[in-house]
Amino acid sequence: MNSLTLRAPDQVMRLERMGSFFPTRLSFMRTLIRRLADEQAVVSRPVWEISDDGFGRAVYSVWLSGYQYSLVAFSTPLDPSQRTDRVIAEAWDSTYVLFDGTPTTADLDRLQLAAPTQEAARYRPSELSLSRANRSVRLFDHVVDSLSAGHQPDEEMIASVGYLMRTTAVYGNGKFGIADRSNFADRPGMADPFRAEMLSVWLTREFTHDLVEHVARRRSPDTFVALEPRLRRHLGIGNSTGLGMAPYLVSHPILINNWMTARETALARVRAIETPSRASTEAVRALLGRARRHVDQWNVADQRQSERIAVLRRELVEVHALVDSPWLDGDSPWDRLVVESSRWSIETQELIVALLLEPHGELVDELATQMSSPISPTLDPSMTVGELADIVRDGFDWALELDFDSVPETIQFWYVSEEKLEPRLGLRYEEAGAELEQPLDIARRVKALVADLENSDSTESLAVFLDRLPGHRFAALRAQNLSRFPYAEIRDNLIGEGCLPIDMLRSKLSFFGASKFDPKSDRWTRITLYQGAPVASDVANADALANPDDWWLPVLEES
Amino acid sequence: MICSLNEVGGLARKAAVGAGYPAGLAQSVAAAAVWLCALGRDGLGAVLDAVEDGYTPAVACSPSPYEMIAAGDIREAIVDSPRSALLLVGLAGITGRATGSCFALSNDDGTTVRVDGTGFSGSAPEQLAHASRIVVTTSPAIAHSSSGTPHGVDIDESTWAALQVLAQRTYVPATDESRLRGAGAGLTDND
Repeated sequence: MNSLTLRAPDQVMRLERMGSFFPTRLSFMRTLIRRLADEQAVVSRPVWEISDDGFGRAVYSVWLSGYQYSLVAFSTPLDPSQRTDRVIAEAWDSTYVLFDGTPTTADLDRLQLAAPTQEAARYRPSELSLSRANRSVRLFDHVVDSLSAGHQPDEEMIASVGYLMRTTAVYGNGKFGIADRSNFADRPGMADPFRAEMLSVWLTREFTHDLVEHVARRRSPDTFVALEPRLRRHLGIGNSTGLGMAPYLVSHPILINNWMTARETALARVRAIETPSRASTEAVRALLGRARRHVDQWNVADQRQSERIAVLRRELVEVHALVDSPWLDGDSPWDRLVVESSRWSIETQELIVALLLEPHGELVDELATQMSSPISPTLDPSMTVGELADIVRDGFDWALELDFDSVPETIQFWYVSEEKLEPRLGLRYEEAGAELEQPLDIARRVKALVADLENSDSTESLAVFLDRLPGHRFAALRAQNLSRFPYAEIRDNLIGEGCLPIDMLRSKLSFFGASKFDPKSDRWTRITLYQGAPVASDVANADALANPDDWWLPVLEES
Repeated sequence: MICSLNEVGGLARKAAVGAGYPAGLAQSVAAAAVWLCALGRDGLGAVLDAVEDGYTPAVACSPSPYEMIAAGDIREAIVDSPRSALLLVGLAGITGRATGSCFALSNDDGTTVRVDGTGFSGSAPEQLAHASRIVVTTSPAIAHSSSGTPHGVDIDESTWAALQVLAQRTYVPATDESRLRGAGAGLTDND
């Protein structure tokens, strides 16, 4: 094996590259499904109080690593004029709570009043997540029509929409009184980031499948047919993600560092393979074929992403030709492929990264255990001003070159609207509110810090420096943190004209395991979660699928 | 009302910023509030006492005295007329957690609270409440029991409401323009 060399943070932590990430086998949905399948987890449905037209409540319970969790689902009528994916929505087609254990009838009655109002209610530590989902009315109705009439829904529609409902927010970690993550993160099976939220969404997908079949069956019991298993698997859960996800990447620097470090370490391990097995080489070739079919089925209206997909399709033909040729037969082919990929677009480069991890579970899967972080950045007050200045000059050199007196480098500001605290992005020189901007201007703050570090005695401790200049505490903490966590910072100016929040969203969503990114603007995207993933009956029955972990970049295969 | 520790930290941070605290100091105040609440103390009440009169650098509650002691810059710090002695205990706690240091906080009556990263011993922190002067020194390692992370903490509703007023100052008023442009998404989704 070669020694491991990770790609440098200067290369990885750039918005353009982060905005080109694809899901990998380390993504959080993948790790959850592996665990569920390993344990052959059984999902039960102890409560199903749903009317013929699909409204009411249901409970799905599952044992995971010795603990029981229950999704409590409420389906309610919704006026179409109120159906919005925005945080400012006040009503939804369905609402959900992931409950710790088995809810009593009293719990269900309490939650039936609370959950449909979402943020307007208070919850208890027995609740682990809170979420809501709206129907894709077009597909939901089509599937009901089809199944009740005795035939399967149109496969092209299933492939192009991909979900019956899409979640519009999934709250965790103490929001509105639900349990702090620290209350349960040390349980077996719950350590991975966003584990409760991922479990909630997987069970929600099960509910949407059952709901659409229930409505179809009740409409026409005599002619009803159930969804074919392969269509059921291809119906994931949609998700609309807006700006709220972007600040998270900035406010959790150690966590982000750990995600990136795991991913880059995984890549380095694969690149270090000198002579791959024939099986892994064949797997890469087969997966590349699947990736091409997946990308062929990835159609979006957004011009920027559409152009990138067109380039990706074209370049994947070249990649495939190379991978199928004797070129691959020499030593260290995966390392050579990564080096060679620099001639293609960043989107293609990152697809190759995800591709190469896929057949190497034995090398990389254990890295998933290193992706959470129970700690937040802390200050070492004994570090000297000179030492911190060195760290900044090394890790933030890109920021020090920017001119924050210029309009282009300061044109945007991040803020929280008083409207349901929706995160938004404004134009500093056109809109009011810049004096209340959120501290995502990391580069600007660090550059201001450096100016004062350089005007101070280099032997002075950071403790004394910050006592004199407390306004620099935020930047000093981030800068110092970078010396221990090199992937902690996005190395681009987040208030500059070049900052596209969609890149931050895609990066985070790729770690969730999302695919089919469908940007609706530069700050809003739809995605599909769990498309192609095993359903409950698959994980309970080890024989149902040859490999329940084989759903990277899924495609709807013909029956 | 029962709140999570994450809510405690979020509200404390926003209230401190709303009161005029710089972002980094507000983070410290929030961490101290969480540290106190996790140990069953009134961390949000401490934050309200500390920040409700605004931010004045000379008298603001800060981790700096503890950090300078931990860094070996000084052996003793004196905090005159602290706005919240309880928050000082929390700030000592989070600095102790970050640096491995132990601190002793004493008033002129001889009341001493010893603090490290995981808790406190000696007098109850509330006994420092009305101290006109607190002397901070290093302390030998202390022995105390830790009860683990609580599942929800009981928060006084009037404290919560008062901090929400301060937090509200960090939110930008809604306009039609920001509603449409700021989030980059439509107002209805009937696909």
